[in-house]
Amino acid sequence: MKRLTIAVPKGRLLEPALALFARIGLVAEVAEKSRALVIPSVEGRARFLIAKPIDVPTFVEYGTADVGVVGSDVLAEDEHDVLQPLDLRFGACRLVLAAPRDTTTEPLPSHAVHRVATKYPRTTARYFARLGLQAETIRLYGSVELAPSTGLSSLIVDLVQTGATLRENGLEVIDEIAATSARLVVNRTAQKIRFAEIDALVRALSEEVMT
Amino acid sequence: MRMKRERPTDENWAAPTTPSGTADVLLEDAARISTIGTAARRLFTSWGYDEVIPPICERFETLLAGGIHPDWMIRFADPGGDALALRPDFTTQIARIVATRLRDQPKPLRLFYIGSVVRRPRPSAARRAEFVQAGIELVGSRNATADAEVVAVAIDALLRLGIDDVLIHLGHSAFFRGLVQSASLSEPDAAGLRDLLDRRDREALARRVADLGLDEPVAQRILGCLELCGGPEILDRAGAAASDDESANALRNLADIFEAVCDHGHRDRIVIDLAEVRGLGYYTGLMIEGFSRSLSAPILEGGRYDDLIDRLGDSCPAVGCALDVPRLASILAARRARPAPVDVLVHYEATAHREAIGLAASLREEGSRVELDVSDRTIEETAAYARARGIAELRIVEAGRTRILNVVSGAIRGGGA
Repeated sequence: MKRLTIAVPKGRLLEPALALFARIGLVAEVAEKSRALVIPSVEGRARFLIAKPIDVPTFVEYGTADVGVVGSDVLAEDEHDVLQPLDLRFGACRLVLAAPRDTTTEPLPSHAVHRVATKYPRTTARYFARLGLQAETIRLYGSVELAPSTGLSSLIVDLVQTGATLRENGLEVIDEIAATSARLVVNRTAQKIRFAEIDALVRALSEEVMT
Repeated sequence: MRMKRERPTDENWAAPTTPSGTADVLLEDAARISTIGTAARRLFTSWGYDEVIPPICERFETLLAGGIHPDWMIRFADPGGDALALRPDFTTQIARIVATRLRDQPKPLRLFYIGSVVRRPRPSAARRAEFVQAGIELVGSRNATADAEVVAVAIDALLRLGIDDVLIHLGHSAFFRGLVQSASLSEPDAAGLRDLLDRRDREALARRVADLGLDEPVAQRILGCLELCGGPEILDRAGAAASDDESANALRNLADIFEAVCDHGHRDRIVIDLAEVRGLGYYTGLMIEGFSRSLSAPILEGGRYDDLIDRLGDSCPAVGCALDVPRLASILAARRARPAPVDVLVHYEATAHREAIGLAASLREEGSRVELDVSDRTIEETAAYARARGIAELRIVEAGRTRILNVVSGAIRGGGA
């Protein structure tokens, strides 16, 4: 049978993801300073695809990868048809609504149209719709904290780990929208035609992250 | 691969494209699609099924009454302002036909269809909006033997196409429904549990079950659904869990269907899958999903829909399934199953047109694919064209003689009349 293909995200989740798979015996054969985007596991039982986080669910949905690791923030933003059997518990962050410190004492006026800069326009639109507030979301691809100080927006929705970056830019959390962490995602068909293999993988990972 | 084409010099010009989610299916890809259609038609006919050709669009309210989610449909208005939609599915149309124009036909009624369905593509991925389905509906029987026949016809069709690494997952829509009914859950709570089970999210499911304060045995049964995928032993395992009537009946029904499918000789291809809770809104019993090990997407879907025809005007049980033709074609393409090339190209001198037509006709009579030259090319140019098209043989008809050029080797035979 074909080797299992695992999509893992570049960036802050890469190291903990590979470490987790190593603990259940799937050790990535990472060469020093290698830039390879496909790496085999040590005994060749699996191979890892190194992808941009936002692309991981796409690789899994199309079946190019059987399973993947991705932040729940990405899953909530792009509606992908993938199975989500396990919270992997690492990479914990909060998705928050934040504003400049001097404006946060007043409640958000409900009659205004709020301009919100974010990397998560759909999640943001859903959040404001649930509150019955009107928002104009502005999609940015990085340095979202820059938006309020430059007058691009009055609010931001962004992922924070410690909150240090927010503080340094004079911003303060108004509301927590979601607690996020790394999730295991599985291709729907792979789960059917390789049920035993994937079920065993999910159980092994589940035992690892629960202890 | 390399780019053969020069880019246009006008930066604002773009070649016209098909609408998003649609595509032109061309040449050997089209040949594969129609080969599958032809094979399916022959097979369905041999099992006693008759063809129906419903219109490409349907009244929106009919499709809604059928239980199809409005988000699935591409809607528009007719000149009078009535809401119509392109058909996202044949089954609702066939239910309408059976409830109306074919209501007096003797039952059971065996119908098949081959054609395109059109669905609104989802935003996240560039998904197809239109694809061809070839399917059957067996109308007028509640028996497990009818469910099994539909499964057997589908497997037969796949085998006939040379797709033999087939896995058919059989589930039952009444199993989970029975479990949540026995727990007396509200509709939103039940839907919430179904969503979590659909995502196979064990932890969140466990949390939700605890939050709902369900009895321990009920909670265990619902969580246990995650495990209910495998061989026939799953039926026994699930049987031990199901105490309420609807789930127990569902299991008995699925066991009967499984036995009947085994009688058709397909035991090894069947997976019992009670963890699957997705499926079209109108399913009331058996749910069928088919896979090939060589493709990461289902190639066949179907199920039993005993209430659907009733909603459209006449009470009648039915079961059916549909093959996903483009996905089957992609499996065949990956196996390099190519349609046969044209066998012979007939080239002729202007004065020998009539002889050339006669020669082409007699070669076709013998079963060859034959092209008749309509260009003014020289023999050399024609041979180059034949080579490019993969045509192996060129017949050159001249006054009083016909020569045969083997396009690959360049050898020429013949010369006499």
